[in-house]
Amino acid sequence: MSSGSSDDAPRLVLVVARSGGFAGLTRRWRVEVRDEADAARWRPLVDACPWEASAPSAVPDSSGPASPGPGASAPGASAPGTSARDGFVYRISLADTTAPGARPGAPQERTATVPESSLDGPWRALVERVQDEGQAVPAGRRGSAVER
Amino acid sequence: MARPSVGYMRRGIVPPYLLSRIAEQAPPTFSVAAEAARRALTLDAPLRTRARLSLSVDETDGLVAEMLDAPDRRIHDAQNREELPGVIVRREGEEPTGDVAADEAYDGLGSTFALFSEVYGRNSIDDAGLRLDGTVHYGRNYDNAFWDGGRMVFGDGDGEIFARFTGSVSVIGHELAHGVTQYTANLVYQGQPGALNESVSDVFGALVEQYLFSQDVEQATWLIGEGLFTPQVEGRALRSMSAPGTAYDDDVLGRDPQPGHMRDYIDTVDDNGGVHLNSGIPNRAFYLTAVALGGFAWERAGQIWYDTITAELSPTADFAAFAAATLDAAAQRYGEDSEEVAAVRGGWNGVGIDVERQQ
Ligand SMILES: [Zn+2]
Repeated sequence: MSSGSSDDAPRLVLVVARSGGFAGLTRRWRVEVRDEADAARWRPLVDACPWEASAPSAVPDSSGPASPGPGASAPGASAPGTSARDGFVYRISLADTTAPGARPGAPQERTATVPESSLDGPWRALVERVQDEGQAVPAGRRGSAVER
Repeated sequence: MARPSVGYMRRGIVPPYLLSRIAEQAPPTFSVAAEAARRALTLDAPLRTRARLSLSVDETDGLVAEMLDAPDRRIHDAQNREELPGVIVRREGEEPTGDVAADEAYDGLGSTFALFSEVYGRNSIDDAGLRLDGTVHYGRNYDNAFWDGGRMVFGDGDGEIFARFTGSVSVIGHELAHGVTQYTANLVYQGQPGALNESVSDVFGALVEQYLFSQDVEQATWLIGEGLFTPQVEGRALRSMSAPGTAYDDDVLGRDPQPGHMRDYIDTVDDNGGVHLNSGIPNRAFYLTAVALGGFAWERAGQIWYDTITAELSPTADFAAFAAATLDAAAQRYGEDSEEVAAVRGGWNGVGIDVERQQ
């Protein structure tokens, strides 16, 4: 469905993979946008997100030694690099065949990694939209619940 | 005459109003108790947030009054919003609220405090009586529980896959143990040290449950999060420490992906490098160690793991470094040629990790 360069190939494909959490279960939601009117509705949401700042290599590995002690335990402080544990981690992937330089079959691809504690503003809006309108991708009986 | 002393006690938290009454109204024959109660209420106030007074009679009919650390819990209700801390619903010593999640959180924090205090002599998360803060009813259909660096937060679950996250005391113990790790080894939350951070929380979460129910290594379930899945899910729990990878196998969720041996170690970018997945390997090493020693797992295996995280351990320790540190801890407490050292070595060997002492 999502591959190939036929006329009905999706203009945008968005996948949200939510990993981590106490259970360590990875869940996925996927949206394929085919007609231009829909794409026009999604594009502002997509473009509002700081993709470069959230590229996997740009995200601190959430391991910056969080200094123990009362200073480290301000309630609600749980950005990457702090001591939040068991939070979800969102990986958002975009394949865009209508971006400059892209074409059907050779989309522009972007990926971002956003910890739950930083999921606000445009990222939260985008993720919630994908979860609401997208298809949940079941892990299935055969597959394991994690992508290796 | 017996003197107030610090000791062990399992039951009988003395509420402050009773301490006051003992302090003010105890007859002269109970002068030690009265003095201990006064100390609990006043003198010790700057040193410890809470204290318990244990009264008993010894063999010579002397009254024994013991001063014990006590938890200071505070439960909030997020009222289904994703905002912390929420409104306060229960403080230390207050009656049950009637809200199942709030009361489970309160009781579970008490059970976790009891393990650390009574078995390892640790006074709360920071060993200085830190208040235990928990928030329940976080978010709507929220499928998670987490430690945010200062409090434990519990969702209600979606009702289809997950029930409420306070339903298993192993989960509450797991979250509080993240606080203990933060104040001790502070293992970074990525890759192998991250998986060790997770495993330490599973180990002490399981031990909280075993201690609460007085289960030995044979009676224990070694499951983490038993009862968190709804009946629609084919699974017993979220994780199994005795047999990682077997906790669930479900049409929708798939199969429990945890490895229990280094040959199955998972390399992934998700989940901070698989911290909730590869934790199965050190989890099983702990299980194997505990079973080799027999009896109550919190007594020797748990002590060795507790000694390990509270000793000199690098925040970036990988599995091999952590394994070596457990061997050092066992040797220091029980001796080079002890059965404890042999059990620890066997535990790690059983998951594919050769281990030798560092020191
Ligand atoms: Zn955890």
